[in-house]
Formats: sequence, structure tokens, C-alpha cells
Amino acid sequence: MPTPQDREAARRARRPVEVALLLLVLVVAALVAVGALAAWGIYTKANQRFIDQAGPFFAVTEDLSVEMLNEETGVRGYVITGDPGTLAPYNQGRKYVKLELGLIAKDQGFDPKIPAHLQEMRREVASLQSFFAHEIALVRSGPAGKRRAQARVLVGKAHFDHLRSASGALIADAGSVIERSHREQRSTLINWFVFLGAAGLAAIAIAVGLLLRVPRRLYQLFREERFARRQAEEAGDAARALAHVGDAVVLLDPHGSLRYWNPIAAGLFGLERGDVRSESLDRALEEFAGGAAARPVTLAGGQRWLTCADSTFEDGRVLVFRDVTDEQRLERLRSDLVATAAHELRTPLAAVYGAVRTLRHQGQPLTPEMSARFLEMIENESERLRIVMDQLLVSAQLESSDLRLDRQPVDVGRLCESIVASVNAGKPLDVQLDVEQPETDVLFDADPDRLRQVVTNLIDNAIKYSPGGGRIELRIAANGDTGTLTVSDHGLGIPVEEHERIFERFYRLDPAMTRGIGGSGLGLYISRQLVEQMGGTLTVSSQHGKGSTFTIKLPLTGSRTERLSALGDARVGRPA
Amino acid sequence: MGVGLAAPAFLAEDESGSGSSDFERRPARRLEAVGRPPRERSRRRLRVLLVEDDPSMRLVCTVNLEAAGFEVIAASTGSEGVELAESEQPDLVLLDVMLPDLGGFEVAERLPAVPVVFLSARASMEDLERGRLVGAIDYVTKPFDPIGLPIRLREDLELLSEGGPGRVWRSRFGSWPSE
Repeated sequence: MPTPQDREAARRARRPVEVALLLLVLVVAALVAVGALAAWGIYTKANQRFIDQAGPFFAVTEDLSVEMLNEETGVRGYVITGDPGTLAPYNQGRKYVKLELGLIAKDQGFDPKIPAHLQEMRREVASLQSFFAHEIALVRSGPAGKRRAQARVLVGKAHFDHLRSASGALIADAGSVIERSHREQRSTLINWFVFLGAAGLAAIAIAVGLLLRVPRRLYQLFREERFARRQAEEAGDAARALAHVGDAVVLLDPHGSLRYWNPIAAGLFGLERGDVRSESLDRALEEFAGGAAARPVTLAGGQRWLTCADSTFEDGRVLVFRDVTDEQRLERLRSDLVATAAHELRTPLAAVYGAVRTLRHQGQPLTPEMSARFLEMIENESERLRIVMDQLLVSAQLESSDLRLDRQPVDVGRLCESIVASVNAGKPLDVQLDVEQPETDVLFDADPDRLRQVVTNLIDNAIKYSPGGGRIELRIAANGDTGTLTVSDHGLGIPVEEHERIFERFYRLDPAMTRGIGGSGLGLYISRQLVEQMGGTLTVSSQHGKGSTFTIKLPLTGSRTERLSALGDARVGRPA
Repeated sequence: MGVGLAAPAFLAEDESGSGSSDFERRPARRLEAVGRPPRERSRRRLRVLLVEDDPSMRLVCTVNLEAAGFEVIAASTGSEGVELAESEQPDLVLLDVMLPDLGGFEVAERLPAVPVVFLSARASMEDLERGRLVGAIDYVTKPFDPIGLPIRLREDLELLSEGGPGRVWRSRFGSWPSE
């Protein structure tokens, strides 16, 4: 269905064509009109020309008769009076007749009949003039001649009638010439008009036809073009979407040959332009024959965990692979956490449970010293349980970022001594803890409980990873705005490639835990997170086999409080 | 296929254990050597080597095993355990999995011919299977009842002399998915 926007667009596209066609119709009409006018002009001009030419011919012919009548009048007067003076009209007429006959002879080409009629006219003129000459001669001869001449008047009349009839024929010729020319011109004009009218009508009909059809056709073409463009756009959009989707998409034809794949698929299966089959894809499909659940697939780039959505339709098959290697790794980390957490909780719980069972159900009574040791064990292991629970909780809080820090000036020297005192109570005998600090107090801007947690964790680690015992040194230093606290041991050390990974969540030096020393895999992760949230850094430097040094850097309180109090002084305008 | 002995719930639920057929093959060396029936030596006290890094656990086990008439030799690291197993010729090694130096499974492979019982807080199916593959006859998961531990170890040794390590395992865990 065309939308209103489509119709509007089509209307806009159609308008210039309509205007052009209307202009064409107008131009054709104008041309026809001009043609008609021109034809009319030619017609009237031609008519006038004929009239101009035929008119004088007509008049001269008429005049000829009149001059002949003048001759006759002169002669008749002479015959009656015998006065030669009366011959004046005769002489004048004779002169004019000659002239007029010459004029008529010039125009005798008007009509084929004219030369014959002119000949006859000459003859009649000549005959009449010879009659007149004879009469004049008779009158001159004397009274007898005069009477004879008078008696021949009727003969002259007969001659004159002949002349009149010849003149009439010539006049009729002139009339017919005019008539014919009129007729011919009119028919030419009518032919012109008919032709121009027909041509104009045909042109207008064509234009109107175009006007009716072309916009419709244009609209159709416009719609088809628009539809094609929209389809192309959709195909383009689909290709773009597929190119940028995070999953690998592969289209197979019904015979299983590759038809299309997106860049992710190309990368995953090493597909190249023109490929019809792919070994790694076939291998993946084999793996997924049993279902779409995530499973490891060996590809060119190593083993990846994939899921596969397989949609078959009549023209082929669409496969969508998602690389879930990272999710899988996270999932493994999570299940590792659960296993680790369970293990970490089980170990102290086993000791507590074992101690209680031993205390209550031992067949032989225990010595008081032994009982005391078991009670102490219950106490210590319960504490250990508490710590593990705490770590799990802090980790969860860090994850959901609702951990609250209470930052205040912390005397790091005293904090370290207090930690060392409590660690000393339960540490192995072959481990020695030393604190080295400057003479002036170093005040960290930190949350004391959290800082204690971090330092305790670092010392616990140092003890754990020093199976052979040795010195563990805590060094405190202040440098400008920054305070430094290092915890160094001389134990197992950490391989360089593990230096950053140990701060990852759930990461343990040996992920299989078989060699690991008990731990939730959370201690260092939590420590770094806490230090960073207090605005500091926690880093490690270590050489495998030669011990490790962890460095905490935190802002010093002085710098901050001094600045703040200076700010406060300035605000309340107290004298410096 | 179930032998009918109570299997822990987590074993009954999980049937997707990875297949392995070398249970009988791999520990055979140990089995033959272990073949010396402990009964011959039952006149003297049974000697247990306890390899456990956690001092609390070590104390609990030692007190209870000694009270039940066992002689206990304790080691806190894997390598120490291997040394003591060679020098002290224990009748049984009670072995933790998480040790600071060598892992428990690795220790088990290095031990001379001696029945091994794992003692671990790691209680997943995979851990038990690994224990079985390195030739352990039993796998005790923490927390456990220390009073019952000596009784269980005696039973293990008796079952071992009757039917070999497979017999002990089956009686403890029922039908094992990978068998």
C-alpha cells in the first residue's frame, strides 16, 4: 500500500512532466494558430493580387466598349450634321481603343480563352472602324453620300451589336478569371485549414494522451524504483546488521554448500571468498549434531566454546554460532568459586567438628592440656571461618559496589604493629615479622578496618607462600603526598607472567588447587579493589623462587586535611 | 548395575562422569605389591602415615587414630610424606589433596606400593575420580567424624585384602559411573 508520503513524492515527481506536456499542447496550439493566420494572410494577399490584375483588365475591356460607343456617337453626329467638328469623340475614341487593345493584349495570358476572344474583338473593332471610315467617306462625298450614309445607320447598329457581344465575351473571361482565382484560393485556404487543424488536433491528441499516460507511467516507474530501492536498502540493512552482529552467521544451501557468511563467521571458521565448504565448519556441525548446548570446538585459532542455533528452511539452513568462550571461562570461575568457597568453609569446619567430636566422644579421657588445645583449635578455626565468610561477603559487595568506606587518618605504624601482634599469636615459629617505620608518624587517609584487612591478607599470603619460614618485612615510608607500605617475603615468589593475574577474581597461582595453599582466590582481588577504592594502588614485584614484595600506595592524610583546613580558614576569614 | 550399597546423593545424581577404563590397569602394580595381606602384620599396630598441612586437622586425626590403636606418623608436606612413606613403610597413607608443595594426587603417584586413602575438603566428582585414578582405595571428604575414621580405615584394609581396591571403592561409593 502506498503511504501518503509516497503519494506526495509521486505527485512532486509528476508535476514537471505535466507542466511540460501542457506547455507542449500550448505550443502546438499556438503553431496551429500562427499557421492558420499565415494561410489567411497569404489567401487574402493572393486574392487581392488577382483582383488588382483582373480588375483593370475588366475595366479596360468595358472602357473599350465605351470608347467604341464614343466613336459611333461621333460618326453618327457627323453623318447627321455633316459638321466635321462632331468627329472629335470619334477621333479620341479611336486613339483610346488602340491603346486599350494594347493593354488587353498584355493581359491575355490570364485565361486561355482570352486570346481568341481578343482576336475576335480586334476583328469586330476593325470591321466597325472600317464601317465608320466608309460612312465618313460617304458624308464627305456630298449630299448624296450623306443620305446613303444616313440610310446605313442600322447596318452600323448591327456591327455594334457584334462588337458588344465580343466585348461581353472578354468581360466574361475576366469575370471567370476572378471567379476561378477566388475559388482556387478558397480551396487552398480550406485545404490549409483542414491540414493545420488535423495536424493540430493530432498533436493535441498526442499531447493529451501523453498527459494522461506519462504521469501514470511515471508514477508506476517511481513506485517500482522506490520499491526496488527499498528492497535494496533492506538487503543492505540486513547485510550491515549481519556484518556487525556479534554472532557468526552462516547460510547454507539445501546441498550444504556455503552461500553466505558474515565477518565473524569468516574469522571463526577461517572462511575465504569463494569457499563452498569448510572443514572447521563441518567439524563444528558434527559437534552440534546432538544439540545446541555450549560445547568446545577445535578451530583454526584453537579451542573455542560455541553455541549453535540451527534453522532449516526450504531454501537452506541458517546457522548462528555464538562464541561463549569468555562466558564459559567466567562460568568456570564461578563454579571454581563455589568449589573453592565450599572447600575453604569445609576445612575449618572439619577442624571444628573434629575437635568437638574428639572432645565429647573420645573413648579415653583427654589430658587437660590436650583439651585446651582442642578448645583453642575450635576458637581459631571459627575465626578462620569468619574470615572466609567475610571475604566472600566483601567480594559480593565489591561486585555490587555497595561497599561503604569510612576514610580517616590512620597511623599506619601502629596499625602494622597491632596486626603483627595478632599474627604473631598464631604464626608458624619459623616465620619472623618485622616492622620498619620512620620516626614521625605516617598518617594514611584510609578506612582503618579495610586497610587492616588488606595488610592482614598480605601478611597471611606471605606466610602461606613461605613454606620454609623466613623473615617477613613491613616497611612504611612517606614521600610527598603519598604514603607507601610494603610487605616483603622470601618465599616461593610469583612467576612474572602471573604478576597481574593474581589480582584477578578467583585466580589462584595453581588453578587446579592441587598444589595451592588454601585460599578463596579472593584475597588479593579484594585487597586491590579496596586499596583502589581508597584512592591508592596495590602492586607486586617478585622473582620466582626469591620471594615477593607487595606495595600499597595511599594518599597521606596531612596533604588532604591541611588543604581542607586551609580552605576552611579562607572561607571563614580567620586570620592566618 | 547398582551394587545396592548406599552411594552419596551427589554420586547418584551425577551420571555424566568422564569414562575411563584404566582403573583396574593403572593401580595393578600397586595392587600386586599391596597384596601382602595386612592381616599377616595385624599382630603389630597398624602404621598410618598422615600427610596433612593443616595443624588442626593433623592433631584431630592423630589423637583419634592413636586412641584407636594406630601408630601415626605425620608429615606436613607432600615431599616429606613421600620420604616418610619410603623410610617408615606404613600400612596405609592418609593423604590430603591440598598440600603446599606437591599436590596430593601427585604425591599418590610417587608413593611406593601402599594403600592410599584421601582426606580432603575437595569433594567434587572430578576430585574423587582423580583420586580413584591415581590408585586410592577410599576418599574421605571433610568434614568427617574423627571417631569413625579409624573404623573406616580398618574396614578399608579388610575389604582391600578381600577384593582389591575396586572392592573398597564400590562398597564406599556404589556403582561408579566410569567403571
